[in-house]
Amino acid sequence: MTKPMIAIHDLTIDEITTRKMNAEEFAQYQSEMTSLKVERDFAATNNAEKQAILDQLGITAEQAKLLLS
Amino acid sequence: MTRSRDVANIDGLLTTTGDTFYASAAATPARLGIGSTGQVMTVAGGVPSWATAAAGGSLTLLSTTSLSGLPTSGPNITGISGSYTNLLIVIVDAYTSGDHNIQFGWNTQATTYVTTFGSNGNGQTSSSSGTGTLCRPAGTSIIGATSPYFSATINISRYATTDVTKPFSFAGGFYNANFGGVSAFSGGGRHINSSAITSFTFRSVDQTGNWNGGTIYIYGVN
Repeated sequence: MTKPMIAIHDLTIDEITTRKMNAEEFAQYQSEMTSLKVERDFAATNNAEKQAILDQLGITAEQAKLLLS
Repeated sequence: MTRSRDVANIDGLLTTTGDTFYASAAATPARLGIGSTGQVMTVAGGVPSWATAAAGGSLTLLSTTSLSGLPTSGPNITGISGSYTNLLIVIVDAYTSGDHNIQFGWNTQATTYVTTFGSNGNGQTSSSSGTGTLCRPAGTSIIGATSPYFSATINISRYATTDVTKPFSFAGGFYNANFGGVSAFSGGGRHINSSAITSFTFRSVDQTGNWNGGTIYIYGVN
C-alpha cells in the first residue's frame, strides 16, 4: 500500500513540507483506517437493520420518528 | 503646627512640575515626583507611588496556513510558540470534494476527553476519549456534500503550562447540502497531558485527496 502524503507546517521556520508519511505516521494511519472501517460497517449494519424493521412495519423513518415523539 | 507653616511646607516641597503632595506619615508632608510617561499612580507600602501600567490583553497572529493543495491527512502545524497564555485557532472555509468528516487536535499522543453537540438535522451528540483521540465534532459527521466550507474557532487555555489538564472549547459551522444548509456544532473538553501544547492537527477522517481551499490562523493570547 502506498503511504499517503502529509503536510507539516513548521512555524519555527515558517515552511510547509509535504512528504510521504513516515513509518510511525503510517502505522497510526492504518490503525485509524481500520477503526473507521469498523465504525462504518457497524453503522451500515445498524441502518440496514432499522430499514428492515421499517419495511416490516410498512412505515417510513419519518413516520417512525413521529410515533416516537 | 500652624496653617502658615503648612503652606510653607507645601511651597518648599513642590519643587518640580508634576510634583504631588502627600502625607508620608501622620502630619508629615512629603513630595512625590512625577512619574514617567505612561506610568500610573498606585499604592505601595501604604503610600502613593508611580508604576508602569500593567499590560492589557493582546492577540498576536502566530501563523497563517493556506490549505489549498495540501493533503487532507493534515496539516500538522508544529513549533507553536509557548510565549502566550492561551491559544486561539481559527479555521476559515476549509473545503474539499466528496465526503469528509473533520478532525482536529493537538499533541496527539495525549488523552483527550471531548463532548460535542452538533446540529445537522439529527441533533447529534458525541463524546470520545482515549490516547491520541482527536476531536471529531458530531455536527460534522456525514457531511456528504461537496465543498462543505468548514469554519471554527478553537480556544485552548494555559496551553504552554505544565498543568495536567488543559481545558479547551470550540464552536463552528459548515455548509451541508444533505441537510439543506448550514449546520453548527459546539463543544469542549480537556486535554490531559502536562507537556506544553506545541502542535495542532487539522484533517479529514478519511485522509484522502487534497484540500481545495481554506485557511488556518493561530493566535497567541495574553
